[in-house]
Amino acid sequence: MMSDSKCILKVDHLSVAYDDTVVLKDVSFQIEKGTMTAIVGPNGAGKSTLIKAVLGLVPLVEGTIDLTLDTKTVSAYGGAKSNSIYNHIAYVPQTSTVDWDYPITVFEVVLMGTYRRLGWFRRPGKRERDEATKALQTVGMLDYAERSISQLSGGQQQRVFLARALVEDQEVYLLDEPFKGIDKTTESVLVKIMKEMQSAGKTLLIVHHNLQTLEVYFDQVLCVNRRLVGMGPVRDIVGSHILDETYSY
Amino acid sequence: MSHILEIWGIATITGISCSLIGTFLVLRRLSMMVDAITHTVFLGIVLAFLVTKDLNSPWLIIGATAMGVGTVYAVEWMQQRRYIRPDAAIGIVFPFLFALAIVLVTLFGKHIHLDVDTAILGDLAFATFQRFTVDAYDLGPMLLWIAMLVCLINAVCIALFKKELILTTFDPVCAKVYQAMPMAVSYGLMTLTSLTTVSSFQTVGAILVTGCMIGPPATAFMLARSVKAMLFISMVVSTIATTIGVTLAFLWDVSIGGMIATVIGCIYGLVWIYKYGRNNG
Repeated sequence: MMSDSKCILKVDHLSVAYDDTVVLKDVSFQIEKGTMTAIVGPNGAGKSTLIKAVLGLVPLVEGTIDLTLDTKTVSAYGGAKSNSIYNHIAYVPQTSTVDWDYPITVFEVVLMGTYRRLGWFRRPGKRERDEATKALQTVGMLDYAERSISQLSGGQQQRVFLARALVEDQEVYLLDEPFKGIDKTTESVLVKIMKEMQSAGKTLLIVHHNLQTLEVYFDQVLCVNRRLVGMGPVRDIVGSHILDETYSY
Repeated sequence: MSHILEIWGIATITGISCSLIGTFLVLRRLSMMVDAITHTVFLGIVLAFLVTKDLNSPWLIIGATAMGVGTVYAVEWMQQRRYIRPDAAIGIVFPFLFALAIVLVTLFGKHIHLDVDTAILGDLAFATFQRFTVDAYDLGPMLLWIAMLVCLINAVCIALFKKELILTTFDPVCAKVYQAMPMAVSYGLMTLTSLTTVSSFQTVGAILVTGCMIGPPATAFMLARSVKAMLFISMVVSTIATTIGVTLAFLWDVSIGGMIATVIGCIYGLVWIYKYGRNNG
């Protein structure tokens, strides 16, 4: 299968539970650097949970996550708390997770992408502002920089969130349903940006719903339903029994 | 005249303190938590008094602040448990702790002047009686100095942690991903809320603190396009309300705190009508 030298993210025997309910059981997979992977599965299958587990937002009951960067490998273990892995992963949450009536401008939201690097007390300077401007340009939202976020459409909100993640400049990007509730035009704009990120060597894992677009957008598919039902290149998965099995119960 | 001016000064500074903290409480949708804290700090005061037997002991402020933070802990802990409705958690914790304070006061505090009514409604009219003196020089009312100190603490904390406060109130999930310790920021904010509440006790009283903390920021929320603007507008609204409130209270000889809160409510209503009219008219 994949050569270990190019593997950037390795998830080994991962299990996650909320209270006593097991949400994900014994999930193992490897992601190659510079790929775009779709995470698919029915509602409640644990797709978002998988992303949150990799981000350290939910505790791992069992398992290991290894992140292999150019210079080092960092790991997170079940039961143990390690922050080092989470510092190298960017996250684009669902736009519904924040309050869009919040009194803040588009530019300020994008600038938040620099906060992790800045740490406590330091304020964003010229360099950070330049990076935010560049990211807004990339997603085609520079004209909206000084607008209040309450004036944005669903697609524009998603672009702003993507710009914020771009500013972070991480190796791995996890996106939770970025195409939810947006129009076709915006979707193609977003996909174009994601493809560019991929060309720049970034690795993307995206929770996705529309099975029709799998072949156009992605390299490989991760089928999740409480466990890993299957994983492989898009052409092997689409039309195979694995998709049926994923959505069958 | 200087008596009125001093009262106006205490009320204005207290109002600015409340606006600074209240802005982030409104943004975090924690308005009703203030209501709970304003009542439960009373238990902290009572407990600290029963131990120290001194109404002027600084332990009263420390005990009250600790009780305020404890309330938030208790409510948030309960909200994450099974069989407990999230909104009911506030409704259970706050009357329980407040009632406990009243029972304790009536049981053990009969001979002392720890007036429940004063604590709830405050009494600005008497706020200037206790003076701050250094070598027999009268430097003004003690409460004015306390209000200024608390206001300074609030302003410095917000200036230092503005970035973190905005991040954790706007996007708590990302704050967690960024390792910005949203829980620590949240409890820091609650500590300041308790401290501000306690210090405002003798001026505007427990109930009206809620009005001063939520009213001006909620008004500013309708007008502001940035957090900075919201902080500024709520301080302006608070100062206008205080000025009108104190003036009317002296003209009509009514409760000062009550008048201020009434004016705040009126300003909120007017701004809402303006905003609604502009967007729907």
